[in-house]
Amino acid sequence: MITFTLNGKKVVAENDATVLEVAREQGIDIPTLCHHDDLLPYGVCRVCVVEITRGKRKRVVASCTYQAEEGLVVDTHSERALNVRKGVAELLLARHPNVKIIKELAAKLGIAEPNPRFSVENDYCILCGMCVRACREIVGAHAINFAERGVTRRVSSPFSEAAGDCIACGTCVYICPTKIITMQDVADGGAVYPGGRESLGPRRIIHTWKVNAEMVPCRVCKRPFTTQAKIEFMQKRAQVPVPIEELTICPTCKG
Amino acid sequence: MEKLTSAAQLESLRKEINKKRDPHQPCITVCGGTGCQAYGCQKVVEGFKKEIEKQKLENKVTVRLTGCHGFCERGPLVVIHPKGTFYQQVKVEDIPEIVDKTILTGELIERLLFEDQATKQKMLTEEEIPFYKKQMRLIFGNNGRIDPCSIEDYIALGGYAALSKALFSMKPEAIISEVKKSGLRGRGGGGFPTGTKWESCRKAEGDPKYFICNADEGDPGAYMDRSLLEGNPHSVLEGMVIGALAVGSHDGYIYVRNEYPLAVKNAATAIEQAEQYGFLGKNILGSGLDFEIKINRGGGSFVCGESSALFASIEGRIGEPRDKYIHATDKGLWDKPTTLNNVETWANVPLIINKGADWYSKIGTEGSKGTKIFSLVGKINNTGLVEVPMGITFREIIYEIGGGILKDRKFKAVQTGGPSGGCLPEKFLDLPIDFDALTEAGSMMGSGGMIVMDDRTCMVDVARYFLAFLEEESCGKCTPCREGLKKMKAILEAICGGRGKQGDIELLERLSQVLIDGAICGLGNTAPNPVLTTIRYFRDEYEVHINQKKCPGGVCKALIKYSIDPEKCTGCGACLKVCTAEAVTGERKQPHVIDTKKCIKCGACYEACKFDAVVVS
Repeated sequence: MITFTLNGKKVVAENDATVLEVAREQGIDIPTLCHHDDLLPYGVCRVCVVEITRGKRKRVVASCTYQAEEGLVVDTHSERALNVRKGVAELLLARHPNVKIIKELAAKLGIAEPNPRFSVENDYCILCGMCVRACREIVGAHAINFAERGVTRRVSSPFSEAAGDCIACGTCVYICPTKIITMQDVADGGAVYPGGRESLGPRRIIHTWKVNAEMVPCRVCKRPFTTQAKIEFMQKRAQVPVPIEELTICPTCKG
Repeated sequence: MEKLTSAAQLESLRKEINKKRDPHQPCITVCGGTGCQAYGCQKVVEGFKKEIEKQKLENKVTVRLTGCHGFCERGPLVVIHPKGTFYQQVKVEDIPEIVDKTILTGELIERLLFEDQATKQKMLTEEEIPFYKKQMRLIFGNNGRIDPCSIEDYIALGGYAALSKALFSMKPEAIISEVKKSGLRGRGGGGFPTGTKWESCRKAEGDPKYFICNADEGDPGAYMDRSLLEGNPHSVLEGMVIGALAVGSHDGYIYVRNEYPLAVKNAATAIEQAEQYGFLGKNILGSGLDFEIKINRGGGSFVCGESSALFASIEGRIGEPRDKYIHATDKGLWDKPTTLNNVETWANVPLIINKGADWYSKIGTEGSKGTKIFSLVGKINNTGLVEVPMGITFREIIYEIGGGILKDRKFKAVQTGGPSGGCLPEKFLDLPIDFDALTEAGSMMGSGGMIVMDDRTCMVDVARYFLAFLEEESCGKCTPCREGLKKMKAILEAICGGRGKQGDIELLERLSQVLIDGAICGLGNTAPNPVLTTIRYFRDEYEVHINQKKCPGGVCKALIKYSIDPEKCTGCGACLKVCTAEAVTGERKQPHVIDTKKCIKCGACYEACKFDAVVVS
C-alpha cells in the first residue's frame, strides 16, 4: 500500500493503482473518453489529465495511465490540467460536433459552441480505440486495427476489405461509445442480382468491417442467435474440449 | 581470420597491420559520404583505380573510398595523404592529371584547390580551410581516413583499444563512473546524462537487458548519424560493446532507417567483421562475455525515433509512442530494462574510455561536455557536417566555418534542433551553444540540425512549414497532437494566405500549451516550438501578416507582388528568359514589365536579375 496526496487529502491506495482509479473511488469526477474499466489503460484521449508534483517537478499526466506512488501530490483540477482538458474538448468538438458524448463533455467544461476559427468537420469515430482494444484484449480475435496515421488515422478491417478474422460477436458494436459501428441480423443475407436473388439464409452483418457471417440457430428454439465463426472460435480458444451442445443453445433457452 | 582471444593478440595484430602500411606511401582518399555519392564519387574512385592500374602503380599508391568528410558543398572531395592535399569538385576527367602531377611529381593542381572567398587565397590542406579550421573533429575525424568496410583500417588507427581497456582493466562500475564523470549527454536530442542512464539500467531488475542504438534520424536536412554509421560504423559498435559490458546486456539492436541503405550495409558489414575478429558475439576477446547486435530496419516513420515508438516498432507493432511514466531503463523493449542511445552518443564512448573523463570533460561548457556534430544547411556559403566543441557561438559556426550568408545577404534567424526546434534571432549570435542555453532560449539541441535563414525568409511561413512536417509525421494516437497540429497548421496557413484574424496569435499560443502539456510523446510536446519561438522573437511579422496583409520577407504568395523598377532595369532580358508563366514582356534594352495577372510568383525573375530591378512588395 502507498500513501499520496489527492486534491489536498491524504489517501491510501494499492501499489499498482492508477491515479484515475483512486480518484474515482474517492468520488472525484475526472472525465474520460478512451478509458474502460475492462480494458488496459490506453491514455490517448487526454481529457483525464491531472497535474502532479513529484519532488520539485510539476507536470501534467494522464491519470488513467499514471500509477500512484508514495509521496505523490495530485491536483485533478489544477488550472494547467483544466486548460489541457478544455483544449482537447474544444478540438474534439470541432471534429465531432454531432457526437453526444463530445457535446456533453464540452458543455461540462464550459464550451458551448465549436470555435469559429476552427473549420468544422462532422466525424463520428472519436478514435478512442475501444473497439480495437476490446477485440484484441477481451475477445482475442484481433480482427480490426488502426490504419494510416496522423490526421487520417482511422479504425479499419485489414486493408479495408472484409475482416477475415472477425467472428461477428458484436463486442465492438456494444462497446463503441458513439455507436458508429453498425450491426444487423437478417433473415436472408444473400444479395440481389439483376438476374435473380442469391439466398444465404440467416446472416449477421457488421457494415463497418464489411462482415457477412453465417448465423446458427438455437438447437432448442430454432431462432438464429450466434455465428458459426464464433462457435468455432470458442472451441479453439477453450483450453478443454467443449461439447457442441453447450455452444448451440441460446441464453434464453439455457436459462 | 581466427578470433582474437586476448588484449595482447589485438595489440600484435595492430602492430602487424601498421607494419604493412607505409605512412609515406601516397594514399588517395575519396569521400564516399552520401553527398559525394550524389556528386558521383563512385566514378571518381573507380577512375583512380583504373588510372593507377594503367600506370602500374598498384604497389606504390593506395586508393580508398572513405566515409563522409563533411564539406558536402564541395564534393566530390579527394584528399591525398601523406601531405593531406585537398582537392574539391573533382571530376573523372581530372584523374589522369592528378596522378601524373600530384602523385608522381608532387605538383599541385591550382584549379582543384579550395579558394577562400574573402582572401582569394588557395588552400592546400583541410587544416587550412576555414570550414575545417574551427572544427574539433574528435568523433568525425577518422571518417575521412578509413574505409568503413575495412575493420583493419579501424584497428590500425587504434580501434577497439578502448574495448580492450574496458574489458581487462576496468570494472563495470568504473566504466559507468567514468562516463558519468565525463559529463556525456545524449546526442539524440534529450540530452539526458548517459552515465546516469546506464547506471539505472544496470540497477534495474529484469533479464535480459537490451541495448539499442537509435539511428532513426529523420529531421529534414540532418544527416550526421547517417554519415557516422556509414563512415565509421566500428566506432559505434565499440561504444555499444563497452556500454553493454558496463550495464550487463547481451542483446543489442541497431534501429536504422531503411532509407539509409549505405548505413544499413556498412553497419551489417561491420557487425560481421567484428564477430569474425572476436569483438562481438560469444566470448569477446576471450573475456567470457557475450554481446550480439542485430540490425532492425525502420520503415521511415519520423516518430519511430521516439523511444517507446521505436520499441513498439522492434516488437513488430505499430510504431506509436505510449506514456513513459516508467523509464525505459526499467521497462523498455518487451518491458525489459533497456538502454537506448543515439549513434553519436555511442561513438563518444570509446573516446572517453581511451582518453579519460578528465580529458573529455575539459572540452565544452559547464553543463555540456565534448563536441557536437551539426548539420549546417540553409542560406549559407559552406554547407556540410561540422563537429564543434560545445560552447562555440552561432557567429563562429555561421560566419567562420560556414563562410557567412549566401550572396552576402543579412542574417535573420537560425533554426536548431530539427523540425521541433526553435528559430533564434540575431541577438543570439554570440550565445555559447549547449543543451541548456538552447533550451533556455526556447529552442533545443535536438539531434543537431542547424538551418540558417536570411532576410528573404518569412518566419510565419517557416513555422507553417515545420508544423506541416510534424502534422504529417504525427502518429495520430493522442488527441492534442492529431487535432491540435491540424488546427494550428490551418491557422498558420490562413495567416500566410492573407486570412489571418485578430486573436490568431493568442489562439496559437493557447493550443501550443495544450500540446506541450497534453501530448503523449516528445513529438507533440515540442511541436509548438517553431511557432512559439517565431511568435516570441518575430511577433511583428505575424502582426503585419494579420493586420496589414503583407509579408515582410516577401515569401507568402498571397501577400506579395512582383514588379520591375524601370529605373534599374537595363532590359537585359534575363527575367524574360526564366519566366515560365510568360508574364514578363519588354523590348531588348528597354525596361521590362511584369503582368501581375499572369505572374505565378515563383521568384525566378528575382533570382535572375543582376541589377536588383525586380522588386517584391
